[in-house]
Amino acid sequence: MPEDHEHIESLQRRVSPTFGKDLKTLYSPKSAAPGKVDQAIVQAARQRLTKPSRHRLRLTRIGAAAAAAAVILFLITLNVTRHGGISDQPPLASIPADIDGNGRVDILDAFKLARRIEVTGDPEAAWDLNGDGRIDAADVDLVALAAVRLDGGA
Amino acid sequence: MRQIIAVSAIALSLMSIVSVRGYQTHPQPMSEDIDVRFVPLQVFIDSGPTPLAAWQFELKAPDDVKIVGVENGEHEAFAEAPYYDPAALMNNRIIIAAFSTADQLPNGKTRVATVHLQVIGDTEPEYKLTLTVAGDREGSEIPATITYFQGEEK
Repeated sequence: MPEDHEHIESLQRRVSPTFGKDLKTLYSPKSAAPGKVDQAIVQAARQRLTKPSRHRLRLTRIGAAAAAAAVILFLITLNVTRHGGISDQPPLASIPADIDGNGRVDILDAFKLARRIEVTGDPEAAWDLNGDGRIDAADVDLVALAAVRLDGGA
Repeated sequence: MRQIIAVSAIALSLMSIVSVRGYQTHPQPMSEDIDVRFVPLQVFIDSGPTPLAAWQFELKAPDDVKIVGVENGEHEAFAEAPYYDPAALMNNRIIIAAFSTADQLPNGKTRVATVHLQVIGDTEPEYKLTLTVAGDREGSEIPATITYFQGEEK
């Protein structure tokens, strides 16, 4: 570009002033874009570069939804497991609940133990089924619960 | 971001498999299209002239019936909730028992328990009710009969 200017100036010196002026207008550098336009362009570019794209936003949302669904399903699974574990109580079958010794455990065993505690107040030490050092209603409850257990006892 | 999405997707798949298996183990056929109703089943024991001090029975319902609750009997000697295995709830089989050491005991036909049921479908289910044992105030087994009535107290 500087070479062009020198060339034009040398031409201007050799041609008429009017023609020289026209040449100067034709080959002079175009004026720069107004400052406002520049700023607007830069601002638009910044916004576009800093703003996350729709594609990226969509992926983020899908990821968040999948994670939330995983957490919810995990909680549901825990609930199912807990619900299914209701019958995972201590094995009452191992408790010597056949108080009357007739070979089966039923509510009459609990009744007889309760009666013995009420009437004599001196039941056999072997009937301390929960091992707390006392023979009381808690031991009677253990016998009764063994009788109604679905997986045995009765 | 891609790693998070991938991990979430894997977790989601695993949780779905576990949850589906859990529900298959404990099916709960609740649907807006299926008719679901709740009915009480009144259970009576008739011990004739002998005072009834203890009783135990087993109830077996069809698969489309679920046990949702158990209520005490009508006589004040059996005012407390009877014994049963909590694992029987939301299942179709239960063993229920109770005893009383009270002086005043019922004789003749008495309502010993009310079993609350969830019935799926509009059919009238048939129940298998078995009296395991009935006992007098001495703890001796006595002859008795067991019957039921489905619906509100008559």
